[in-house]
Amino acid sequence: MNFYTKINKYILERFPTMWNTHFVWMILICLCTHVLYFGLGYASLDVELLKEYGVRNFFFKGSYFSIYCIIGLLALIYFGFRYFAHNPFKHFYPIGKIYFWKILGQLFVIFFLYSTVLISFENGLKLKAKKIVTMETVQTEAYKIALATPFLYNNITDYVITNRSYPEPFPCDEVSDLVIGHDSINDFEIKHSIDYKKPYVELDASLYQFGEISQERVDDCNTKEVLDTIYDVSKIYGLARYSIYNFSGKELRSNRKYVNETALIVEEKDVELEKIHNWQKNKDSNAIAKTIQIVKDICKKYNINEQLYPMKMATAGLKQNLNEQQLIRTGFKDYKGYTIGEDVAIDTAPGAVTAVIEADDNDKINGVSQIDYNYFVDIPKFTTLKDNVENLEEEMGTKQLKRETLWILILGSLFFAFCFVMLKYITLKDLILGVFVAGVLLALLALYIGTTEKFKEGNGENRIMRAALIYAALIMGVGFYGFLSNAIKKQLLTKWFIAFATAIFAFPTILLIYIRENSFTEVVKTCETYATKIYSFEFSPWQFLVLALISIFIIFTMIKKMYAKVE
Amino acid sequence: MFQHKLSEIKYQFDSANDSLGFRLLVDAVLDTNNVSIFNECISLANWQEQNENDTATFKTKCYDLLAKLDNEKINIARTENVLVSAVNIKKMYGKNNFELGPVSIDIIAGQLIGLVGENGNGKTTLLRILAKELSFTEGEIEYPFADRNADDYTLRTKLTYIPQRTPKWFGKVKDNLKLTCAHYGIKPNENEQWVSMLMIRFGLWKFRNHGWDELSSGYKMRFELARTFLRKPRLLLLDEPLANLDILSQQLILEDLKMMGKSLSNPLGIVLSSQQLYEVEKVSDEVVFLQNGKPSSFNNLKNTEGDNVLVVEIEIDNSKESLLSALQSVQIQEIKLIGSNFYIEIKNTDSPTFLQLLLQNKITLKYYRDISLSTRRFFNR
Repeated sequence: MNFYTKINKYILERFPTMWNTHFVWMILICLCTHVLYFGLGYASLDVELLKEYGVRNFFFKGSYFSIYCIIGLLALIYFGFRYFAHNPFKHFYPIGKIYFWKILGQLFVIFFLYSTVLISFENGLKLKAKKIVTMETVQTEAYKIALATPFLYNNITDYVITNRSYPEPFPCDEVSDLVIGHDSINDFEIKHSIDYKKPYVELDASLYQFGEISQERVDDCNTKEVLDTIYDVSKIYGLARYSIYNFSGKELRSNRKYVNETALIVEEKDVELEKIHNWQKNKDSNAIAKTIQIVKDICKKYNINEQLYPMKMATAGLKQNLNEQQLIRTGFKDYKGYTIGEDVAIDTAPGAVTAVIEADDNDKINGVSQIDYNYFVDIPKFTTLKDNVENLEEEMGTKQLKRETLWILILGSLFFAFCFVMLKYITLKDLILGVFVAGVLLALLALYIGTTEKFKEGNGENRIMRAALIYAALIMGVGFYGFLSNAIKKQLLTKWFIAFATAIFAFPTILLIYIRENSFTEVVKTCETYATKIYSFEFSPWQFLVLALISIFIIFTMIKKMYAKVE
Repeated sequence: MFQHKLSEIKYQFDSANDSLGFRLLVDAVLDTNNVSIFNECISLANWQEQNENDTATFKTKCYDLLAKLDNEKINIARTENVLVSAVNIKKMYGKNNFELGPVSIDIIAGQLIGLVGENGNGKTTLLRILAKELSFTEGEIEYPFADRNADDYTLRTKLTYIPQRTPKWFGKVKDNLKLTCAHYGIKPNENEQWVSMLMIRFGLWKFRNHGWDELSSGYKMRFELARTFLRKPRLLLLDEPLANLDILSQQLILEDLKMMGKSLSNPLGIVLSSQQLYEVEKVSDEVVFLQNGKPSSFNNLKNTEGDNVLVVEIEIDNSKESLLSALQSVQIQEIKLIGSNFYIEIKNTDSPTFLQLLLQNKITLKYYRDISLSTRRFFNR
């Protein structure tokens, strides 16, 4: 306690604003919370968690978030008691030119530090995950499981076929495929596909017709130019049956949204495909059994359910696949999928999805359901574990903190800091009254628009924009009038503040959006470049930050004058 | 001047007025602006706190400190500077047609002006106008001490106005004073000393670790004064500082204000409003009486009417007839009964003659006050 008093005395005499904001102690509380949550993150992670649940929003589950809120609330009370009780501004104590920035900066640091507790928690998880299993290990093991997966049969409804290799006589070559349809001009994607030189092929007395797609480019005049014509075997009805499928453990899930990622992983590993084909081709049951045994060991390591009989599986796998002609060596190809809403298309080429789904149905019809379920391994759990480790490694934690998250934390902390700075200068009563005044004005404007049917022109957005501009201008007009003249009393101005401040903040943004909207709809060509610039300006975090800080400073200066103004 | 002050301090200690002597001593120490002397004074206050009954040693230590002060040189500030010059200030309220003014007033450093008047006659309004809290309808106010280029906020940092009801503050007395001190640019290593000195000066030393709820009204006012003096104000405006205080506290605070206002190194102009006429008149350099918003100056009263007319307030056991009979030989200008007191104006006489007449006519006197030179007479008009 003596130490606490001494430190307080030291700060009070030298840094009154820091004393006022409890800065040192708040930083200490934040750091302690960071340490606590790092520990909690470390302690709460185990193998069971890694393989059973997602870790991405783990902080917000259970009591972690509640404890965080309670600590935050208590700290806020501790902070607010002194912060609001001692107000040099209202006592007209001298405040230096950078006083406002000092307070804002301190509050920003406090809020930012407290809001980043989540990162420490995630780093705790990350460290523990590294201790349990490293990224390298999990990737290696994933690869080993992937090798064995073609010989494992899980619940047939759980997987989606996205990876195939095709038998002779399908001399497939890998080519690039073009996708058009994105928003901007000249935007096209090259997707991998399969080129087959002949449009037709006869197999097992059946004639297969290959799909045809074009590689195109859209020029500046919106004209499509055909670059090349290629054939895609994936369009052939039922061809999927003639492929090695079920290759990646990633596929073993009913939710298809990860297929895109899976395709990439499979692509990395597909060098080994030929090896698997050879095992099948040469009926090398020992090799298959060995591979499956590795999976069994991995499952044991992570305590994942398995019912594996390697030799039996190998034999049965070979037999089944030979009988079903499902594993045939020739060329092979992985398909990249892309997300369409919640669902996933397997390939970019039209018809591919249909082909795959129908292939699934065919499999069921042709007796895949007879698969011996003794060959079971709970691959999805390993997949979850792998996903979690990857998430922790790649997306969470300080080093890999996503840029968007960082900006959200920065701007969010700045917003709260600004709110607290302003709360110090205007009373809650004034705030409420201000909101009420603004609300009444808005309601009157809405009534006027509603009854007189103004703003008929333009679409709905434009009408709202116009109304918002008028409203903001009205509020700002009255605010500035009151600020510059003695006609309106100080008390009214402070009540007006909330509407005034909101309008100052909102006006430029609304104006920009309004111009942008109009430039797209009315003067598309001429304003296109300008609109793009506005768009990028509006949503560039750096520029937004600078704009926000300037606006905050203007508002603060105004309040200072407002308070100094006599009633 | 400083030597004169020191002599007065010595005289007070010699006359066994230790309390007044010590307060004057602290004032003198504050005048030096010397932190090492401050430290000695603080040590003395600490010692006194621990040895309350040992007055002899305390007095010796005070003499020692006084001797040290003898060698100190202080910067004596000029007191003739006008701090505020208000010319024909008027403030009109639409609702009840009340009009304050026109009021013209010059306040100079070291001057204490009392503002008296009945409730609702514009005392608070005038104070708030001078403190730049209220706008005025007509007239002009200048603050020559302030930088002309300074904005209103900066100017208001130099004008200190203490309202009748002071707002609640939080934390300890000492912490609050230290925060004020820190904001006013006192060096960190002098902060503790300045705060301690002001606490000693205003009798807050024992209460330094008390909160707002633990202080009486008198000490809350003392705290406000200590806080205000830490700001080294040029102009101090106090609205009814004596309200809710007992008579002893009223006298003490008024004395303190007068003494501190006339500080040699940091003199300041003080305007205070009060209903305690006689107490205020005792310490004020000038008293302004406000009636229906119109001012009358106590100084004008002294110059114009005070020489010729005896104005008294008396309470007697006898009847009005007996009183009139007793005063037959003097020229009564006005006599009226206000409550249980007679208000009497007599021309060309003085107080001893008047009292002699009452005694000769066996008038039983219960209360007597000569208000010839008091603004009290304005209230009876």
